[in-house]
Amino acid sequence: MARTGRFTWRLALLASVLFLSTFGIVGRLAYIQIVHHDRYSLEAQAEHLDKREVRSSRGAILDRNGFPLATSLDVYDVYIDRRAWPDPSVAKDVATQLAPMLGKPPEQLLTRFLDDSNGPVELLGDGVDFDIGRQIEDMALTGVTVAHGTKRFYPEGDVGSALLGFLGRDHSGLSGLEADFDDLLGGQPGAIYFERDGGGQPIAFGRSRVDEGRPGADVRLTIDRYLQRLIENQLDIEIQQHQASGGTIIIMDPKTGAIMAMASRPSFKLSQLSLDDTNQDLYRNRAVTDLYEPGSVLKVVTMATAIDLDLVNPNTTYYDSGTVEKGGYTFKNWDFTANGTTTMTQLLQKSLNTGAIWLSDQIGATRLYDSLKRFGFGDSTHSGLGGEASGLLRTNKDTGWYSADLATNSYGQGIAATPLQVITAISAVINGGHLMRPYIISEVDGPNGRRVYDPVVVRQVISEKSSATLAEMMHQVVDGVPAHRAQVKGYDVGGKTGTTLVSIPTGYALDSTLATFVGFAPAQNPAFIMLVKIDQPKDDPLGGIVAAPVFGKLAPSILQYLNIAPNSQLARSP
Amino acid sequence: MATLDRLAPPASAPAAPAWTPRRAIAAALTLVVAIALFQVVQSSSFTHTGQNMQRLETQRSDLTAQIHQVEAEIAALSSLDRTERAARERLGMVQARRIEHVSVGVEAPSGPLLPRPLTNRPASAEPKGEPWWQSLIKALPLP
Repeated sequence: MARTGRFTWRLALLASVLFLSTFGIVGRLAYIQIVHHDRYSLEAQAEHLDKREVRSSRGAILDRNGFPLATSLDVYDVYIDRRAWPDPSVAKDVATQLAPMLGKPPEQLLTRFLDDSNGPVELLGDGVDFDIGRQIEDMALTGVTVAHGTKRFYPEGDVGSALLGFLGRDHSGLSGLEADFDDLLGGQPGAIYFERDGGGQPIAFGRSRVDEGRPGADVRLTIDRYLQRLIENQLDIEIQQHQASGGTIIIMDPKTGAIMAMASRPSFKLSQLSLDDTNQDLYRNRAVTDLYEPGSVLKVVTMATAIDLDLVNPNTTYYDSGTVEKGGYTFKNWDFTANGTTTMTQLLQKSLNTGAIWLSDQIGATRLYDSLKRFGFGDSTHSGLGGEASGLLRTNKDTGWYSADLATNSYGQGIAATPLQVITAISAVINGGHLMRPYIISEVDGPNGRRVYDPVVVRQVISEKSSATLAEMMHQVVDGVPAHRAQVKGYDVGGKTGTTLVSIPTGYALDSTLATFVGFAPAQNPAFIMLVKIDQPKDDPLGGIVAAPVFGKLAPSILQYLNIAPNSQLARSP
Repeated sequence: MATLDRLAPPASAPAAPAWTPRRAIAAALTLVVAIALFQVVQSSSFTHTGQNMQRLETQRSDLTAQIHQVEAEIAALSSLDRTERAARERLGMVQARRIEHVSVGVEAPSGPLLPRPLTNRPASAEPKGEPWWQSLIKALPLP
């Protein structure tokens, strides 16, 4: 009893321990809840809240008249989670109910349900019709979940496959315009933030927040679906007819640089696309990625340079002896002819190599290469199309240049360009001398408003007078030559053929050519310019025989479609 | 004294206190019940609104999907392949072998001779008139 009420050292120790413990706990609580409030608050939220990304609707790709070439449909992806079926009888029941919705036999579904080689969770069906997906969702089957998604739909079928490109499984663009303008088309994905239970599932009526994201913009192209379909069908026919390895056709508005149609082969078909196919060779747009030697088409640029420098005019003559010696090499005309005194117009009509070399001598190396650069050779056109090549242009200022190069370059050999570069350069020759930037998007209409793309003049390369002279000379190249295969009844057209040997690592394949033709109509006021390139035709090597007729076949339909009136001689009064 | 006592006014009863513990408890209970009811009503309303929102979002999603579906159907119906097939098979049309050009003194239409694309924007809507209630206010003989 004597010790009752005494504050012994043991009691003091106990009190101290209790006090320190309490102080420690309070201190720790203050540290967690006050000092690091934000951090622990976020951690707690992360523990309780979950986020699910919601894909924004992808914008449509429209042709120049507003017809959709690619658009999106709402669909559902159906997933199964085998962990929810401890008993096969449950899986069987689910298979029986799900089978009629997916149009598959229940046995087939059950076999797949019970095969867990792909893990517990598996995508059962992607791109399931929206109404069916919604019905499956409403059925709330055990172990079956659906996810809202979209599927790309191509109303015009395979038209413009390589140009449009395609999407990957994550719905981002993998090739073509879908990839080039993925940011515009894809928009910004949204998200759903929700409270989740221990299993990670959303708590019914728990806290949730929806971030809508930003839908993708509709992209209106300069491409015309009618023209695109027209040239693709014709290109396929020509390739088959000439047993060619491929080909390219481009139609452009020479005054604006708007690409109205663009097709290249070999290519793929959207309807037969397999994302598992690793051969990517077919996916590129060869009209902008592949280089070739323009050949005699380039004589037009050489001529334009000489005329713009006032060195020659259409009636200026030179003497064609059939051969020219340059840098230790002998150059001959493509048909080995000697034409004697020849005018500049005849030079183009007969496509004489000796004449182009004579012109290059008049111009000089520095001025010719400067001119070629001004026409856009050796530099990308900056059209915005993916994978666009810059081309190859070796000038007299580069190492490894020989004087013979000037001769070959003057008629389009030893210089490499894309079909788009060539048609852009020839457009500048005939449109008043303006080098236009080729473009394929005319308008973007999205949540941030509407943006219209105007034509861009890169530079003036020759005078308007020189351009008019060249347009008339090119008119004479087609309509001034009897039975030229690019002629169109009732319309004045102009153009120039080209035939080049296919370059290989060791030089040129002597038995293989690229047959090309660049033409425009009407000659006096061109509504369109078209480049035709047929690769390695087996029946005939010449551009005048293989490529020019393609222009002759397509131009009437194009002119009628564009409402271009024929010559007064052809039209009769009612 | 007895008479006096009888005549004397009765002593007034002591006034009952206005705030007894029983009343306080009752008031507190009432308040608690009211607060609880308010909570229940609010929670119920919140849940109901949440359900409504979900229903409306589902409805919106359905309608958006329907719009996309209809747009795709229109696009498919106006596709060039289908148009050509219908022209050839249903209407028995063939490719023109000879094209006759007739010169007329009227300018050609500026736009393409095609059906109106589905994405063509409608002409800008006329500005709406004033609402009915504003007309009513104006009609009333107010100062």
